[in-house]
Amino acid sequence: MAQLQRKTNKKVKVKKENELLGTLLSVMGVGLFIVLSWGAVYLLYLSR
Amino acid sequence: MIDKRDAKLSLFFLSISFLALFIGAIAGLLQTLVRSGTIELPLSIGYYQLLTAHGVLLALIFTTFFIVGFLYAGISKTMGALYDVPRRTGWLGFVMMTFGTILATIFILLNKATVLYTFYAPLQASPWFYVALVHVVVGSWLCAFSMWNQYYIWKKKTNNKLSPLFSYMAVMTMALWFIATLGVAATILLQFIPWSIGWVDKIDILISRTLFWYFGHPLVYFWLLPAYMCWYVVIPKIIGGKIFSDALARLAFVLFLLFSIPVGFHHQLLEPGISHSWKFFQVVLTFMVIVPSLMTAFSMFAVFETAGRKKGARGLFGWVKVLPWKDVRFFAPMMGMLIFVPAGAGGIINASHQLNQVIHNTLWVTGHFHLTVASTVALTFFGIAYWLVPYLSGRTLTPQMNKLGIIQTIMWTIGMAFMSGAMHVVGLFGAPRRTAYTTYSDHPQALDWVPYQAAMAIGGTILFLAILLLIYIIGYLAFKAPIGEMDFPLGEVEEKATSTPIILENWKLWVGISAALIFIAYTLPFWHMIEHGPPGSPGYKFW
Amino acid sequence: MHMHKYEKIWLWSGAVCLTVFLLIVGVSAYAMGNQPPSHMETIDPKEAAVTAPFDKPRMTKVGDQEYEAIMLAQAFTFTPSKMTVPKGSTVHFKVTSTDVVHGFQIPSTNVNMMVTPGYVSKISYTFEEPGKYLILCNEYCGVGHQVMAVTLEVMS
Repeated sequence: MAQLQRKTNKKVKVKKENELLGTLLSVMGVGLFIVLSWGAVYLLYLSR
Repeated sequence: MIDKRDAKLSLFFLSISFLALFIGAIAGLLQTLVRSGTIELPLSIGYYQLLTAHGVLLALIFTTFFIVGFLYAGISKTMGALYDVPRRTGWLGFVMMTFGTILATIFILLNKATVLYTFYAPLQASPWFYVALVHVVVGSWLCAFSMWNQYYIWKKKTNNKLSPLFSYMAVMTMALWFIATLGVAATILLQFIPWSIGWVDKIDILISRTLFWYFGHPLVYFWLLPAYMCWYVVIPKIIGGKIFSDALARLAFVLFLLFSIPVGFHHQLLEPGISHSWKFFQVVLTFMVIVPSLMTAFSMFAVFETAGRKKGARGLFGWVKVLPWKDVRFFAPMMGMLIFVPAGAGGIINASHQLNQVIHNTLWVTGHFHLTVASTVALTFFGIAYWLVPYLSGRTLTPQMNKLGIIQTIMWTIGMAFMSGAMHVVGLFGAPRRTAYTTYSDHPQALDWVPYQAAMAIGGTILFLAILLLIYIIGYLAFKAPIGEMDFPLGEVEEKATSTPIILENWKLWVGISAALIFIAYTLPFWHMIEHGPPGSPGYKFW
Repeated sequence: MHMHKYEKIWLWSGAVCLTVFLLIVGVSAYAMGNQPPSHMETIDPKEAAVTAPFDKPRMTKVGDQEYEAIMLAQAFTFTPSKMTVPKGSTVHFKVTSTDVVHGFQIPSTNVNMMVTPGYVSKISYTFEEPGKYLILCNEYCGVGHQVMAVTLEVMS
């Protein structure tokens, strides 16, 4: 019984965390934009 | 509706704010037209005079008055009507700040203070200009004291209950402002005023610049934090969601207090007289202040996604569709948030030590802060004003005004895309900021910049039209809109979120760490400037 | 304080990226000498125009393909106003101001620094491409700020 309870708890938790997958992908997109623009200006610095 | 007397105080601050916005916008429009070579100003007005008016009225006056007005409204809403002493101190602050604003504007218009809003020595304005700035700063301090006083009394009366999130953030914002403005107050009172009056004949330039930028960087966070308050506290309610985490929101604000101040050298990266090691040290601290913004980005998306899923949105990005895009109270701040992505990326580039050589004092920088303060912050403030002004004046935001607000936001975004986009690109080519129309004797490189400057003027014109629309909407909401009850949208915290640790309200601790970081980052290089400084400079009036 | 698993992932990736940025600029600055201009030498700004070497602003050859440009910035001009070097030369610019704060920038290069009265600013650059390089002031210095520029000719 206790084991079953733990299992369900885990499932609920996993489901809840997954609910923010869109958020994670969105912020990672933001991060990618930052890295690319920083890299572009750094290359410009190197080329000058 | 909050206490009528508090609503009045808040409305008075907002009125001066929008008046300053209107005058500053006229200057801005003319600047873009001059710089593109479209028009020449009548002889008596100078480009740099306009630029001074634009900077002072928008960067200092519009922002500060709006912020103080917004914070008073929210404090009165979340902690209850202002107590007598805080309210009276608030009015005193208003009178001082307004007096300072009028005095500064007069001296700029008289062409006695064409030193731009950064007033770098040894360009020397009339002493009255500096006296005016002191009034604005000290007046804002009175407002800070008044808000802290309100918080203190509230805490006592409620037996040290956890403060409302909005009020906590307001107290933090004013704490950051107070610590930051100590620097600018010191340079004005101890250096500029005695020197411009003639009590002393020389000024130490590097020290004045360092004190200015000790203030200048947290200044941008002083603009940003109230926008974050709207995102953290107001937006969740508007979209029908909950605040993601009270504790993490407070933690983000603590981090801003700690790391936004000891970083001023990243505005002085290309200056002589400061060793590169201290510059690099402050660059590292600057990177720390990016972390709370990363936290904010996550919180915002999480609020959107959670709210969307509750409404039944499916799939990875289904929640985007169910956001209230047609509600200007959401739409304007949301565009501000989206614009903060390129704005933040640009900011990281600017602060990256020697990378600063690529963009320093070019139009890229102007483009950058027109994305941060003039879009992210301004659009959020507009989004607040659309409900706050009718809320305070006992009127309602009509569907028609809501629609106009959405059009205003779109115009602002398009105008800024033209203007700031062109500024970023031509800045990378090397076109300098703060420079009137010139082709440098038809140098081919400078001629290549002209089309971009024309794009800036197109953007500037769209932005000016957007300001006219904004002023119309705000005027209508304040005086004409149907009488009624509006909501002050205040989000509630997600039930499952963790409770807030009380250490986050330990002001002595956070102010103490902030002071310690400032001492670590500034004491030695500052001592070096004093000890090994060159002879000072007399004043110059080159305009 | 509880933090969502995804938020931890996001913040850690952010922290790693920021650290990498800092490492890149740090290594470039400290191991390869690409520091932003931070010269510490001082000078009396009122006497700058009569203090050596600024009493004779000039471009001099100091070595093989190496030149030194001693320059004065004053409202609204740079001296010397005419300078020429052959292609491939490294020029060490040494600049000071006799009056207000000026900027010193050569567009399309990494030459960009502040010229603060009382201090000597230094920056070096190797001109690989021939052409007429624009040297301009990028800090507001008064009503004639927009005309403050000279050219440096790099001969092929």
